[in-house]
Amino acid sequence: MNVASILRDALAPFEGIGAWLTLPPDNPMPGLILLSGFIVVCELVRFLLATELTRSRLVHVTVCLLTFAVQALVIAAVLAFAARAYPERAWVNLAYAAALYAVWWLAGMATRLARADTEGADVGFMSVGAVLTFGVGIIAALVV
Amino acid sequence: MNPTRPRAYRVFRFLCLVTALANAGGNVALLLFHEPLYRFLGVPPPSDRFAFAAVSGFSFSVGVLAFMIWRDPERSLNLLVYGAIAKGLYASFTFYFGFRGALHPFQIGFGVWDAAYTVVFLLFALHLASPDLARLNTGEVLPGGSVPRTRRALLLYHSLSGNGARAMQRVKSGLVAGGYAVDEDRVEPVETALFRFPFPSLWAFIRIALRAILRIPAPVKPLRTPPDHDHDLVVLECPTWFVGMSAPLESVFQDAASERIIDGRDIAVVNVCRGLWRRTQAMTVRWAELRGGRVVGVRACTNPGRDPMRTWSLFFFLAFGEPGRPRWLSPLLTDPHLSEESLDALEAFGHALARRPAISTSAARERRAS
Repeated sequence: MNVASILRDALAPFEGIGAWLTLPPDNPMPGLILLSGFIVVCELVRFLLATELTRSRLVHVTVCLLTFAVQALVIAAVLAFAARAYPERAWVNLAYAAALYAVWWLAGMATRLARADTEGADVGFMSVGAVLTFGVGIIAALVV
Repeated sequence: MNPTRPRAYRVFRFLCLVTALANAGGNVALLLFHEPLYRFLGVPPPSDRFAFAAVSGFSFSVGVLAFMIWRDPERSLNLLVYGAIAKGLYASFTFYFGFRGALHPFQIGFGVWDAAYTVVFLLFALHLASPDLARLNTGEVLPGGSVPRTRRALLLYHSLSGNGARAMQRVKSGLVAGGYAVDEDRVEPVETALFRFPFPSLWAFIRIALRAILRIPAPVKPLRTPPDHDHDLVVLECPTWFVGMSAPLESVFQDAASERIIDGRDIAVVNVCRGLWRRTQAMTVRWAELRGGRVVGVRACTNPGRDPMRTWSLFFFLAFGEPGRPRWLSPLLTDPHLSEESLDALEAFGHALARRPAISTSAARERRAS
């Protein structure tokens, strides 16, 4: 038994996740909830780490990546993956992506409930992320 | 509960008590009465009694954890992080198996509860983290340390595009108006060909960006300030470079010799940026504290305008080396320099620093003891 088969067996109970991330037309909610949860956690962890472990290079790289790159690229990858699985849904999925950006913004603004000295959602870098996400999403919709 | 605490603190603490009771009490009740309860609700009985009891026991322990957080939140930051991870994982698994049809809606309800508490715990941790910075960011200028007052201040800064230099000139005006004599020591990188503005090339900008993200030090020329300087106040200005301190200023602190400049002095921190200042501020403050400084005040200033245009205006400014370019976009672009209002606030900050009270004898004794 090699490592790959061990891993495959270990992850077998979660094989449905890949199918969810194709945002199937009959049931896109599991994928969207999964992505929403991921984005909310990324945003809150970014804020939490911002003032902590200030001399750690690893934490700094993590905070930089969580500023927009991880979230934007994950949504972009899902758009491309979903467009490949259900080409006819590629344009509709862009609306889902927009909704995920709204969730992202809300998570950032929610930090203001916790303390006044936070920047809140960074719409500036989110817009950079949006260029990546929707760029990939539109290209995927055009080419599939 | 202490009524003088912020409302957010009281709400989060109350929510910790709620989940403490729900997790601990609820799981004991479930272990004892799950059979009649499940029958009443139409929930299928647990297929694996050992797994059911183990999960109930684990969930009970998270209730105890929440109770410990409720009792002493300030010392429970790590527990909050652990609690968020525990509840997040439980919510994720419940969500997964719930959507696969393996769970009854009653059981999915626990997952929804834990998902909500993942957010609550993370927000509470955020609320409690670095309380000293929260206090400094109210605008308060704290009493100075026991260093003899010479009424001399040192401005230590690095400014690539001139935004920070302009900010420091206004802090200087405030200090001078408050009766201080001010010296400046501008941090100069050794790699002058790379760290200059406008950037010599796109590749130079990319190198600076990657180095900032990876925190690669930028060697600096020796400071002009001697180690035995007599300034009682050091004002540090640091711009944000990719969410953190600018490399040249951080290099000053990475050299342990900076302790001779900072140790024992009162420190004020000014951060200038497009919009993200929290991490830069925390990094600057923590470095100053590590080198023996007593941070008495902070100010974070952001460029005027609203995002996303503020961010794109900065990108264009960095690309073209001057504001208002490209011309065809200029009506939409925002100023990549601090507003007059921010500069006025910095001048007032300088004045407040000059008038900061000295620490009381009892407080100094307390501080030494701690």
